[in-house]
Amino acid sequence: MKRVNLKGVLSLMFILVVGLLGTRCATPKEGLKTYPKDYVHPLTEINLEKVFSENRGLKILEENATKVHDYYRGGVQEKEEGERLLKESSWEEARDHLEKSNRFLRVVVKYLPEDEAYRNIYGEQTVIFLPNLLIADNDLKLITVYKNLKNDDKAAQAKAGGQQYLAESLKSVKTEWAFQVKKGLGDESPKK
Amino acid sequence: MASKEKEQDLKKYKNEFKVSSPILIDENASAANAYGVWNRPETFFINREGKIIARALREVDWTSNNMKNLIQYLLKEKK
Repeated sequence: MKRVNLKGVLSLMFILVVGLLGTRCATPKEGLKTYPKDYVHPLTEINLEKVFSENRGLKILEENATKVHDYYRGGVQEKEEGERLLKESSWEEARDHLEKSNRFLRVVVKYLPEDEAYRNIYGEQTVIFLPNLLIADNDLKLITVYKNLKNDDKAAQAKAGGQQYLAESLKSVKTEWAFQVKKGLGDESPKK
Repeated sequence: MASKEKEQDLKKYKNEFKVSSPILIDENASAANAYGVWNRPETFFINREGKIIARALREVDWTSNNMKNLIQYLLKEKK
């Protein structure tokens, strides 16, 4: 085996090690907040824009997703694109992205079924982790999309699916956002 | 790159483990977030074109055959 030439390596590529100290001198977790079970996280604290901003950056491609958090990130990124297209009334394109977002997020809930307002990922670093609520929110938006595509059956399925995932989300964490989605799903009548 | 670590801890770490390479401080974890880092440590291998060509999700034994093979393979890439 030839010896690796470190200078050569550095001139050819860049190795980025994030969180170098990792396990060696990670900061203690005493700063992490805890909330009572029935605490309702207000919209100012937990909202869609915050979730989007936490998951922007490197784009996750379906073929490159390997870890559960890749699927979460991919689900959020697809959702953001779907929401953008929804505002432009590009129904078919919005449907494709929102459905893809749900595919990603369903993989997440298979392995990590509980929503968490603040999931601790390392040290004191947390992320908003609400895969069930994101699916429910996608389904709420998909009802509008399917109605515009004149597909009432799919709209009814989205409503039923959304209510199921919303219930799962509320079992673990209560958010003002979830109650808004609940109201939205309740107001939605699939058949006009 | 160290996310949300204190400078004094980093200095201590550098001295203790005799680290000669530079360590950058990612104070508010913005770089870690942009790379989608949920584990520590996590290593990204970025080629000359700026593409991530490999990722290691846990501590790496840089002297292992696998790692040597990967680096040697990358070194053979044409400019």
